[in-house]
Amino acid sequence: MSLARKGGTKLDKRMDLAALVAALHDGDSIAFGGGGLQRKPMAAAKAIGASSLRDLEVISMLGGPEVDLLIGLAKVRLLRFAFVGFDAYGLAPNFRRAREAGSLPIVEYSEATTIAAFEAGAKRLPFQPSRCGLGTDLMTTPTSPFRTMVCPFTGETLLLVPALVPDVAVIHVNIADRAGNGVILGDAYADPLIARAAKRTYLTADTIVDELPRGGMDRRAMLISRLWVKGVCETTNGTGFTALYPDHPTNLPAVQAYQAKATDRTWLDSFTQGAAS
Amino acid sequence: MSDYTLEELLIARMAKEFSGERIAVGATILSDLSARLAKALYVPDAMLLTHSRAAADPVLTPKGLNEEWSLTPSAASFLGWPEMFDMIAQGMLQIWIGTVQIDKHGNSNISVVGTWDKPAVQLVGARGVPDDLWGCERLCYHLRKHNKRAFVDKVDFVCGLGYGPERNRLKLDRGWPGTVVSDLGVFGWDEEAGHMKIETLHPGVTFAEVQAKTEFTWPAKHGESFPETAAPTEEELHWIREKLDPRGIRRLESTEASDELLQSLWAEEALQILKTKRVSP
Repeated sequence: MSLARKGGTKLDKRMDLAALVAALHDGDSIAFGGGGLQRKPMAAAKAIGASSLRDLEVISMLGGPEVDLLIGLAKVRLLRFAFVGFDAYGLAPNFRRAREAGSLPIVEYSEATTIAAFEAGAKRLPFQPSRCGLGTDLMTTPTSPFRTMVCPFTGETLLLVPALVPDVAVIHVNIADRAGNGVILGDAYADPLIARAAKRTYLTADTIVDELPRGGMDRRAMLISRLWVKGVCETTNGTGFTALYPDHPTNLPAVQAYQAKATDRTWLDSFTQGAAS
Repeated sequence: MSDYTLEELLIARMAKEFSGERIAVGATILSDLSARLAKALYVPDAMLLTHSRAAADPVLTPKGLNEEWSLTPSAASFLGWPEMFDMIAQGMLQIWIGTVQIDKHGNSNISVVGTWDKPAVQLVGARGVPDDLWGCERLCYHLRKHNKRAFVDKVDFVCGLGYGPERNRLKLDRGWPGTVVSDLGVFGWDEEAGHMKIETLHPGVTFAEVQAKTEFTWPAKHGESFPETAAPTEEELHWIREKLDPRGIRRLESTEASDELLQSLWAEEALQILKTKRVSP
């Protein structure tokens, strides 16, 4: 074997969705990657939804159907979010119903404060200072996690965002290798950061190769290093009806069917059991 | 309004708010088209972004429902979200926000209608509005339907902060309420009073109609006349119709909007995307 072929790792972190679910515990905090109707780990969310797991704390900066599904299946003890919706295609039906019934405990963030919380988490710091949120009702909600302090350097009042260190992050990537390196080709949202903040990160991917090409991917690709990753699950259409750039756009008819029926528990159960879309 | 539609009028008007070498985006279809129009005709240095905001600085392309596919091929750079918020913090974003409520002092709300504990309507959450507040010079708002649920006396939840004592207490000198547009007119601010005022009314709209569809009282007299919102120019109409939105995506924010229209626009585009198979990395 030439020197050029040495130095690769033999690590194999492949696992199936059942093993991913088995690695989770009741009460865990789970952060999902993707945004709205883009690159949501729907296969993983369905596997979690179909399991006996309960009392989950779900964290999603830009939540979509993965959050809505777990709310509809009564898996969510607490939701932390800056947005939950179906982007241009409307509101999330179970999130809406649960909130309007007053039955879903939430902690409301903005996008930048969610990112600040993950940045503090990734650095294992207790908080990150920010201004975002000051002057808004994010400060007045009964569950607001934010505090203020006077900056010792400038005297300015700053907002403090406590760190978020999710027990688990679940992120769908376009392609991963056995060792746990993952590539996101489209919008990465906060996903590389979430992977660094969480205690354990699991990737799902429709394609898992032995080893990603060396020497750099496409310049637009976002890479998640294997050092952050505990396991990789091969999925078939792992993003369901949400978009996966560049493979497929959001499946609008499937989105609309979900919006029309997802508050019907019988329908939602069969949707959760179903493999595709 | 005979030779152009309300949507075209709004796109042309909203385009006038952009300037300089900054990110130009809109969270609604019409305002996003206005960013493209601004770049085409008035602000060549503006930087466009996908709606999801990753693919940055593309050339001008027709508006689509799946902007990652339409903009990525010509994108000059690619932004991560943490970097994007650094840009926002340093005033590099100009945005039209599609707010659900705005009040007379310029507070805005996209989170909840009613009480936060048990909302009458749970909307989407505050999203990036509190962040834009501490970065953008001004927050411009596009409200599709002017009515008493949208133009309210006091918002139910403050996502974007308007004029008033809280802004003074925080010494907040960014995120000022900017231009507000609806299907009835264009609105600005009496900065001294910290109160919304009428700038122009769209052709055929009367003050009485605006007042009847607004929850708060406008600081104007009945019988007072207001300038008419400027009609789009031939050049603007040409760009909107022939180059930036030849498929008429803008109809999704018109009275023509329907599920059928959305589905047919989506199907046409999805077919095109799925036909062009991806090249593996």
